Amino acid sequence: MTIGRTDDDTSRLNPITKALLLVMFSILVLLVVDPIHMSVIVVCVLVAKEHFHARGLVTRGIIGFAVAIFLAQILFNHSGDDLASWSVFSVTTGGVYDGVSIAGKFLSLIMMSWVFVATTSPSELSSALTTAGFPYRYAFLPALSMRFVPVFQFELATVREAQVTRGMKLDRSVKGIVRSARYTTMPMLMTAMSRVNSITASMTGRGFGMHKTRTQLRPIRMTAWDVAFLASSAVFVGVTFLVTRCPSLQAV
Amino acid sequence: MLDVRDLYVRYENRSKPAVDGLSLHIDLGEFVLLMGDSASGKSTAMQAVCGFIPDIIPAEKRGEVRIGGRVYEDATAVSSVACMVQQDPETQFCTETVEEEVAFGPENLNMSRTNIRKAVDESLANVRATHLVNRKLSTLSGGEKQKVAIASMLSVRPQLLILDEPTSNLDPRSVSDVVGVIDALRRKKEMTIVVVEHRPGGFKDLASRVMVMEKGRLVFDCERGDPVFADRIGTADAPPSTTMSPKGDLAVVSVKGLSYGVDGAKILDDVTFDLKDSAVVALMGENGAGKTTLLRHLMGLLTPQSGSIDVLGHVQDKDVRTEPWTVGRDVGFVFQNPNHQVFERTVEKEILFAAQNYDTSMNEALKAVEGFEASEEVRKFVHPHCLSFGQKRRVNIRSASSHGPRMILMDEPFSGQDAKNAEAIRGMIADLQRAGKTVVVVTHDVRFAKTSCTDVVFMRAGKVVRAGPVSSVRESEWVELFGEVAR
Repeated sequence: MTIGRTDDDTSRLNPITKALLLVMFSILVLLVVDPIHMSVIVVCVLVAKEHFHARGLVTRGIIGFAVAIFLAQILFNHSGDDLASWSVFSVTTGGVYDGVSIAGKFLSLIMMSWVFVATTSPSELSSALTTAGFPYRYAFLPALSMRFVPVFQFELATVREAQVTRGMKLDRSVKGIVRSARYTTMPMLMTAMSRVNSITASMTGRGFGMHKTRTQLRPIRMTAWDVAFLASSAVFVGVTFLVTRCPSLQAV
Repeated sequence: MLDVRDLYVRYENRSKPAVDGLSLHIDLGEFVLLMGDSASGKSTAMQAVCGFIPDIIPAEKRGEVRIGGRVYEDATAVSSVACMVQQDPETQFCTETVEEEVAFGPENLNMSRTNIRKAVDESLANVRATHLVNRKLSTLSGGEKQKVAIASMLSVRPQLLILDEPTSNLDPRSVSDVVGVIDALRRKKEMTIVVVEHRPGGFKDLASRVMVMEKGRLVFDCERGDPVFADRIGTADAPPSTTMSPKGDLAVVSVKGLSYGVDGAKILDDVTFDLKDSAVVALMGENGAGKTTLLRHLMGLLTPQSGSIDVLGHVQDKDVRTEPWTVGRDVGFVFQNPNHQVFERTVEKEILFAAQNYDTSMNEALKAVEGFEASEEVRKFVHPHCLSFGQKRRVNIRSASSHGPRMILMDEPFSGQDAKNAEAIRGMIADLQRAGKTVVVVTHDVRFAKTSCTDVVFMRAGKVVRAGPVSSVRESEWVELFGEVAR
């Protein structure tokens, strides 16, 4: 998994700008109902995901869930005109449209959040939040969480390898999953507790929390580029809102 | 500089104290080597000095700790005068880059930006790591990480610097490098340095004073120049002795042209070697040389990208994959971190885990349970996580070998072990070898390789640069591969 920055324009944006852009993107996605528009958004997000090398997301499970959402809409949503029918089952235009729309919303929100994680340095996020006036003790929380995601992924993989090398076969049945969880919880808990103690000692031992404020060697401030990005995105989302939610404008 | 009086520390849920009535006095500019076996209380005492106990690690603490004549109320207050570099630098990094990590302390102390810059530059220069300033921490080698961890503490300009086993996970060359850095700090005499170690190792020529703890008490305290000083340091570093059976003639491992890489970086490059049965093989090389990756290939945890591996008839190449579950019947694996491989709720169940999964004969497994040093009560009712670090490691080895595998792979089994525990592990390895098993041990311990192994495989930058019987390796080759520490 990659958590960090790439060197293009978007990853040079202030992390707060990126977080706000993600919020606006989420609003935009929730506003869009047209399946064609939704499909265009999903394609754009896929392109963005590739462009920023946001790899490592468990796409098989997520795509599987999106497909399940789509199929559920097709099977149980009977609004609109009939497209096809077999016995008691029928596929309607409403089912297909809503299926594409809801599955698309799910996919694009998950993947765009991942793009944010992959292009945002945890340290810079905390630095930007502190510069913006956020209390630094709390600003460090997301940075620390993100810092340990790859560590815990590595440790989880090692624990699973240790299970397999001692004869615990990978079993995808419910019983197998429960057994695997039972034997994974304790080693992960032990290593997590040890890491929490180490990192707390390391931070406290270097004066973290000694003062109410904290100097920053490289403060990250909002630039004109950030403001321009935010303003244009806000205008775009605002116009989309008006167009999609005001019947009089839709008529125009 | 440091005054400790009647320090008593007892962890929660433990009946016996970890530190019991410790009193000591250390002057400014002294270099103290604090030694003792595992669980002797040396790290606990230093954690209490820094205020981590009871602020971060819950425990009952009594007694008085004065630094520079002053009693500090908590760990945050202590941080302005004393710092502790923990055993594993990886676990104490809280940022992403070297510059951010070294600047972290001065930023917390609200220094001006100019002073932070100065502190970062000076600290990195003190550990000879100025060139690393813009590097990401994840890209550093073990030795580089340790140097950055030391620099990140130096940047807050402490009067007392405590280093907890600063060389325990490093290869011999990195050990020399880190010892050199600590020596340079010692020569400046600007601060008091306390190094906590099981064995004096590279610090024996630096220490101005040696203290030894046992069962939570200070049992030895002597300054350089005292006649017993040299005796004590010499005894603690006594070489191990192990007797082994001769190895067999049957080929059990054949690796041919094995290569493997990640994101374009080659980790293994055309690796070729063979191993015979009943051999004890030291797999050696600098941190990042590819030793663990090679071990994981032998276990079937990684698939070769080119070349082939035959381990006891389990063949793997880029087209043929053998599941680790299948390889695991014949090959046991002891991972580096004991906590990653403890699954069951009692010692007995833990040791029987693999034998039950593979449904093999329980005779050998039950012997492995009975062979564990603790009482039957402990074996049947005590959780493995409640054992000492050394005992936990010995449970790991028994668990990995209880189902009767013909070969055991061990990834740095001596890491963090004191002399007694290391001796016990060496004994277990010899027992396995005498039982006809092949044992491959990833290690940085040159003395272990020279005295307790039949064969060595040296790796450098993903390549095997030397493989063969230990007896065939000349002294000059050891020195060329590992530096003067190999003598």
